[in-house]
Amino acid sequence: MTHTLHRQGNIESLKEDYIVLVLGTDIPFGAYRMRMRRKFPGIYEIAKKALLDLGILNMLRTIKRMRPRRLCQGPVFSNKKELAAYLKELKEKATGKSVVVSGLFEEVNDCLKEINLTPHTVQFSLGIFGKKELLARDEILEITTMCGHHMISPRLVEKLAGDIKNAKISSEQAIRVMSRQCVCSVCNEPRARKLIEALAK
Amino acid sequence: MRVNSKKCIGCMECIPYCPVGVIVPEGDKCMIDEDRCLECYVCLKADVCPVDALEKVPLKWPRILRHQFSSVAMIHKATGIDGRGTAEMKTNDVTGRYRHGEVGFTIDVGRPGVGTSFQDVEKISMAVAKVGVEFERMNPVTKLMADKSTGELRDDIKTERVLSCILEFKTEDTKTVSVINALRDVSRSVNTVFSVGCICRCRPDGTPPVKGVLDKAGIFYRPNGKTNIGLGRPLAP
Repeated sequence: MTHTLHRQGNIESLKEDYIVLVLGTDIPFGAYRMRMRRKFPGIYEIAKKALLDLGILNMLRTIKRMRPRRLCQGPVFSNKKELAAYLKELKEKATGKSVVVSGLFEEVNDCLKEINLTPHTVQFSLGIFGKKELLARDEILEITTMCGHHMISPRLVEKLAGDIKNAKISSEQAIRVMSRQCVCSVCNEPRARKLIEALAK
Repeated sequence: MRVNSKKCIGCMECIPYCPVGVIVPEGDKCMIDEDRCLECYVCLKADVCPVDALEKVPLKWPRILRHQFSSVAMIHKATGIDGRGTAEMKTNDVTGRYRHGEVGFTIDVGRPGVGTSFQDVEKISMAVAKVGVEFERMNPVTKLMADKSTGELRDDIKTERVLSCILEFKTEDTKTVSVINALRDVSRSVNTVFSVGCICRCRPDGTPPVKGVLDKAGIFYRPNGKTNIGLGRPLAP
């Protein structure tokens, strides 16, 4: 799950784009399972395979999904002030869950200093390697990379920008169509609106 | 996915929704190139076809992999985890997956928006395996490897295509530049793109040691990325 890592854009635009994810571990049985995996890796693998084969693990995951709490949840912020306030709230709540912030390192570090926290682990994006001629143009990628799973098609962005230009739809309507494709809801709608309006011009 | 040509009225509304552009006009109707369709179901979920002409096709092994890796919410049978990889650094304050002296990598093959064959995924996994890396055991691509020491994938899956999949591995921090050089080399021989993420545990003062390594080697990194702020409750000291 690296879906919020590779967001593209210039510094000014990225200053309006922060995502906070609050996560339990990706381990269905939480702490107990982690301890078991560390201490008895052989038994752990056998038990997990048995649970998978019997369909019990998937059943438990399905039940977990039906509950209102999601494994990965968190809002998108358009400014540093709101981000800092939210992080402060999370720190005070002390739920023990992991909190991950995606955004400009410099700005995020400023927020952390304000609430006396330091980064624990970071992930850098080293950019795109390979056959770059296959990519959509940068203006499109700035929008589509906001859905890290790439459920938003570059062709859809082009079409919606064209529809805005031809006054067939408003930019709000276009964003509604576009962000519906991003099932993780990490598409920053205010930022996406600015970008698609610029594209429509 | 396929278009039921008896139902299709040729409105072409579904065409722009396909992330890899495989819905195309054919005469006065739409059709889906099934060889290139990645079974992400984005077109279906968009619910834009006024006559419900978009239909799922039965997915058997190994084609089911297309859906497992391309659709976001699918749980991988081999790992019991949804999404395309693990929580990697997001829960590092709890899991201790990446420790001091280690550097982690996430290689999103086919991303953004190009898609990839497993043949290309294998080229990358074999290139980094030569440097000496430890592939993440809970990752769904690792589960498809025939040999985790060489990065070789199972023969029966190599011709399948997916929207994106993630190679996850870690190694000693002294091998950071070697891994990136291996990625640069292999990038010339793949028919896709891949986005590279580089993970490290920070020092007590919050500075990431790998930043100095990247700076010294003149390796590009974006000004934005992900920061785990350490609020997770660790299981062990």
